[in-house]
Amino acid sequence: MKLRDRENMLTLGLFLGGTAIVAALALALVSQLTAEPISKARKENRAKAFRRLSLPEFDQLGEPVEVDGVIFYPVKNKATIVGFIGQGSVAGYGGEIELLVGFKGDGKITAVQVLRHKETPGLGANVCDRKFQRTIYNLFAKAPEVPENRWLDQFNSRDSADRGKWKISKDGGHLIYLTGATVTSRAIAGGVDKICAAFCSGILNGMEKQ
Amino acid sequence: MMKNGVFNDFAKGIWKENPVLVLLLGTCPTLALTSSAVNGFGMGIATTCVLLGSNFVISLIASITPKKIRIPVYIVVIAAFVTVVDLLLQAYAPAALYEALGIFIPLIVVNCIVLGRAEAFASKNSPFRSILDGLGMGVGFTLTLSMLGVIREFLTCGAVFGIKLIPGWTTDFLLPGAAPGAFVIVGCILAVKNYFNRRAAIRNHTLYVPPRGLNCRNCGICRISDD
Repeated sequence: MKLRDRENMLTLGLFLGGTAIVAALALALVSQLTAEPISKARKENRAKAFRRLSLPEFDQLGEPVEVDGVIFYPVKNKATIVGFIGQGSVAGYGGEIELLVGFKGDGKITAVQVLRHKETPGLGANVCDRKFQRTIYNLFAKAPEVPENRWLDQFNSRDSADRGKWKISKDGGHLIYLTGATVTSRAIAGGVDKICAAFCSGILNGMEKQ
Repeated sequence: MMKNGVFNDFAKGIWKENPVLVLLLGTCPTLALTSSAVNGFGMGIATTCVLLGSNFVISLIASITPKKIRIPVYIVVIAAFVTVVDLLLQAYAPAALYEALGIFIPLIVVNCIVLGRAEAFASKNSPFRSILDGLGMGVGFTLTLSMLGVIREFLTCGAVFGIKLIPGWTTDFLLPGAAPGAFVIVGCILAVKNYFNRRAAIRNHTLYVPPRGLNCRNCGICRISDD
């Protein structure tokens, strides 16, 4: 009797099990082969996001510290701390928005970056993404290292201590927001505020005590 | 004759049996992922790779696979290839593209195009013809998705493949970029394709005119009335 027409449970089970084992072995092999490129790509993405924070020159990251749900990486240049990177998340319109905020040693913000988001393309996504817009006029121009984004750039070189006023203008603050993406703009203002609060209470205080 | 057959295996996926426009399979990635040309193209290429691999392996094992468990066996093969493509994309594709395709890559496993070709073609034909079929279907899928992506991206913000063709267009028009707009545009493309198909049929005198009074009761093809 041909294998194709067999119907008893044992043969079917063994065949399906055998297929699964062969598939699993093949996947294990591919997973082994791609493990290194994947971790390299991930590290490169993180390094790229960190570079875009325009921090003072640094050569290594210190041990991460967690304060109120925000993770801070001390940024070191020749073993002296020159700044911090705060990584936290906030609820946006379409899900979590993961934010990176760069701080100089004196508490000034260097830049704000969105690491991951699921906002509406064309609306909320425009607030979150730093994208260099190519047009037919600058088709071959070199893209800048940190493309501008007027909604994220308004935090640049502000002091983390005067955070009380960080609201979008609709809520009585000074920050501009994108019409149609109020929720996203508000979430980012709130997220930066939360990271700064944690930075002031946890990191700056701790440094003064030392 | 043989040459014609080989060519037909490949070319039918592009026009005559185009998976999106004729078979209407894989509508979920078609609507969800064609908001920009790059995303549509990336999804098309990923699906093509899976189709090629799964069609080849399934045509090899079809003759020894017990009939009763062929669907689970095919799914295991397809899932393995999807995981391979997912890992490769993570390792070598630009991060922005992988983020955008995100959860839709694992969902290729249940994409009707892949299982449909496995069941309808690869399980009954030689490995060589199955590869051609997979390649043709994949190219047809990629072309259709890219075309949709180009149309939608242009209607949204005047750009194609991320390059703004109309620099003054600063405010995005949201409807074509969202799923409801995709339905409208796919509908328009289907209408255009049907118009050309109908004209060709009239010219060749092969237009099918349903007989008067045709309904389920007296058709008898699927024998619904027997039950």
